[in-house]
Amino acid sequence: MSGVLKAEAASFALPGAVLVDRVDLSIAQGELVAIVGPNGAGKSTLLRMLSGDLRPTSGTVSLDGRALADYSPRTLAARRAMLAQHTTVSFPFSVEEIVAMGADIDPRKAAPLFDAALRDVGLDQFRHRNITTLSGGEQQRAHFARILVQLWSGEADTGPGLLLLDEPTSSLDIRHQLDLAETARRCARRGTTVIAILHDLNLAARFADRIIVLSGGRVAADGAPAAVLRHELIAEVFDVALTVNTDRAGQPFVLPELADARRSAAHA
Amino acid sequence: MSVLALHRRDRTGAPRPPAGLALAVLGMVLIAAMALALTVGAAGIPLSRLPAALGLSGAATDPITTRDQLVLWSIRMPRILTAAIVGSLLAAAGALMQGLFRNPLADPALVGVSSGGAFGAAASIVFLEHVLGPHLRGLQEYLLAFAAFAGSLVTTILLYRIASRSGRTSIALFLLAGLAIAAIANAGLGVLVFVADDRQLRDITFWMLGSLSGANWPKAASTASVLLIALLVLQRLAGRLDLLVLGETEAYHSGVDVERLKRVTIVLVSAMAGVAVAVAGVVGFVGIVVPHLLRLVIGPSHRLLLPASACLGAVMLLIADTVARTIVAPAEMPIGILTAAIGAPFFLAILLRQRKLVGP
Repeated sequence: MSGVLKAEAASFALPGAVLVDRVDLSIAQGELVAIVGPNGAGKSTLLRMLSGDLRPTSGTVSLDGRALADYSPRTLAARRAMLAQHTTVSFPFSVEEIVAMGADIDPRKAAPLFDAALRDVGLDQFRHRNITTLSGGEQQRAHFARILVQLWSGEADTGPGLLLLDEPTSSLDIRHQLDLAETARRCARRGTTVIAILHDLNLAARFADRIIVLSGGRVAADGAPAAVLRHELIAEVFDVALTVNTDRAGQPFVLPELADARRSAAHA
Repeated sequence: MSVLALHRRDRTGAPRPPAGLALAVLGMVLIAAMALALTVGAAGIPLSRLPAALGLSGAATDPITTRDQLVLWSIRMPRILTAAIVGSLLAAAGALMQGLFRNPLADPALVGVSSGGAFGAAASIVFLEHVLGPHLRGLQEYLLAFAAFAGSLVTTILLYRIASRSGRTSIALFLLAGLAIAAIANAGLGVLVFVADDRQLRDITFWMLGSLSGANWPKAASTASVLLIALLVLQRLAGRLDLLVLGETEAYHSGVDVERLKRVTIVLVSAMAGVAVAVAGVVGFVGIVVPHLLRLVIGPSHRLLLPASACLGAVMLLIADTVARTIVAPAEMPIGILTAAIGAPFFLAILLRQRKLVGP
């Protein structure tokens, strides 16, 4: 199977530290991938390499068989959209203006696109609000809407694209986390490849077709949620005590345990 | 409408006024301000005599009209135009710099870019005379403008290198670095003042305080051409500058060739600030006050903000210059003192409002 997005022995090293170490990945069109791993495992660095923003210090990353370094920023932006972890805006742009930045097209033509994106993130009542006055979660959703507009207006020209999300749910409540996951799944059903860094293993299990576990800059596991979320692997990679169970639908879920809670349970 | 009411609108979320209307209003205000400025001065020309003085009602017949025409066309008109153009350059350069540094507190004069330009200009006054010799004196004005541009360019690049790291700009670092760079440029100016002769000293003092009294038609024409070119280029960059406000990485993800955009922007800011300094000396705070006021009404989108800043900057400096040349008549107040007296408290007010941007 030929991957749309391919990393071959891709590494990223700073003097004295290897952040991502010879990662091989092949991600097919329409796949829904979650990247999980402990802090400092190199998740963001890997995602930034997959986005083309960071060049691997050795190895290659390619999209449709062409190295990312050979794309112009503009051509690449029409094929992939990326939501960064934090985007701070220090000017009073309205939500609508932020969303409009996603599309390099006539705003009148893009109006249906904006409406759909604002509806998907639940900000259609906020379109004239000043983004600097919104809460962190609302700002994150506004930027997600901008990314959706970029993705969709690119896909209208060049076919299914690539959606990269760096901890998209970090400041969202559970309702909006699920909304975002559903929006991403809808994109994937239309052929978009989605890759998201997630901290919540349960959300990753619900959300993704495939989970990649990163540890110390290397891929520790890669596969379907049920195959990856195994007790020994997760306990070792994250260095925690936990229980992995399956729900009625056969989906795995994870219950973390506190060390002292376990100890007192043992005494009782 | 009070500024407070405008701030309140942030929360209620009313749509912004249409772009065409905003520019039309600003354009009309500019024309009115110019007409008014033409009537004020050492030789007063009331509005009723303005059409005749402008030559709109045929050739001059009486001595009053002849005198009015002389005052208007050879003294007041070039000065008013130069004031308007310098105001445009400063305000647009300020807005552009704020976009480049993603920071509403940037102003060419505040962070040493104008001081760098003034140092370049002063250095050309002190040293070029000896190098050029008497028969090349005519070149000096152009070389001075170029030296001012070069001085501004070096400071802008330096500032960018210091304040930006991996695509993020620290606002505190930016302001402090600007302070240090301004101090270095001013120390350089001090050295130049020390070695300059009396006549050179007078010229240098003029740059340090800022004044439009040296305005003439050639200066008005050459600054106008710089402004025109800059505005045309800026209009093409506006969308990309909006994206740059999100951060360099985000701008790259949205398809912007960030390195190229930064290079073009840095050169443009330096050219605009440098030319403004070459003509009028160091005039501060126009670049910060004008874009800030405009953002409250028309929003921060560069497509409208840049041309609107150019318009309102022209109005502001025109008014300031008219006050500067009449308030202590027959003497003249340096315009840089006036803009600082009005602008600095305004800057403090913005600083208080934006406290969370700068620190705890």
